Amino acid sequence: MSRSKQLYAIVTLDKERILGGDPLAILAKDEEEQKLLTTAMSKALRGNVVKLPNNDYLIFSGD
Amino acid sequence: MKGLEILSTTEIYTILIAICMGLIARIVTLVQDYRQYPTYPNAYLINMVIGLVAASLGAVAIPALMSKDYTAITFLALAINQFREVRKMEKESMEKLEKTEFTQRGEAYIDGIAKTFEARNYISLLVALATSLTIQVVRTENWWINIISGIIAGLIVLYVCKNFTKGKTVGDIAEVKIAQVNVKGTDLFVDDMFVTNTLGNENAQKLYSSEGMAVVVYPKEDRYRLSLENFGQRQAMLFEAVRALGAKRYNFTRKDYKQGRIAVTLVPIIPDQGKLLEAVKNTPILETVKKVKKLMQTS
Repeated sequence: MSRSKQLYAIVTLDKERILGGDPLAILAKDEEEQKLLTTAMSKALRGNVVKLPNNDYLIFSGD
Repeated sequence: MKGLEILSTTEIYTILIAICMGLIARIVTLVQDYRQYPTYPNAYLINMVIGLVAASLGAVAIPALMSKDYTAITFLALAINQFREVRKMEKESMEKLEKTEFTQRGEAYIDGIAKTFEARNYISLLVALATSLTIQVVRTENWWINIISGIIAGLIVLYVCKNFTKGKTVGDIAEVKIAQVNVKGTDLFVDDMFVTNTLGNENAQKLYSSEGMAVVVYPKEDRYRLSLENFGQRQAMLFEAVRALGAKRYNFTRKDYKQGRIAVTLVPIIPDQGKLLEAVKNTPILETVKKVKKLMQTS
């Protein structure tokens, strides 16, 4: 349990929400690909995942 | 050149008995706190040797003063510096280990453990000093009376110091109960308490639903909330739980402001509810978060 979290990436289905800059933003073509990408990245980065109300996924530092 | 001065028999047994008592004091306090150790047996040996040095300094101080060697006092000052170094060394060592643990101990817990290490060397020094002083004060013709008096004085000082430095545990000020883990979508709940929404991944949701475990800590009195809800204290509880059971992946703590409850939850490697309860109950209340009731009362 750490107080400061680092945002690693955002995985979205809507290219309008990719505004550039930090963190890395990835555009998935459908919901299935979005889930697969999120899972693969969270495993590789040992990160936690939050599903936002707009269905985007955030991957950030774990414990 | 000054001739060779040989120690008298009284001085020799005074010093030896006092060193033994000081060393015994360190061993007794080491055994009691084995749980807090970062490593075994090397850290155990290091602390015994430092305890021996502490005991030696306490033991020789009185005979040295009796022979009008007042520089012995400077040795005590040196000892204090040495013990502060012990605290620093333990603190640095534990801070470096933070990244290798399942979860972090946290700075407050590390500070508490390091202080305990320092304090226990003082106990060793004080026990040796009291033993040596008593033998010198009693000083009868019968050696056995002198030795037994010294040992009794040493044991009394050890008992008093041990009780004085003994802290409370979570189990003393709170009820700890096993709780139900519920995963609703990406949200994790312990009983009806929201803990986190970071189970966004389906694998995480499945893992937590099938293997997650949790306890809820209920403070016995409202004032204990100040200690238990402290971030450092919650981190210490989580650390002890995770150290007892291991953690496959996730571990969290959460406080409930409304009812004053605290949830400790994890996905353990060894799913043992009894061990989880014991680990949380036996977590020490950190000195830095402890509140004295008398000082909290306002007129």
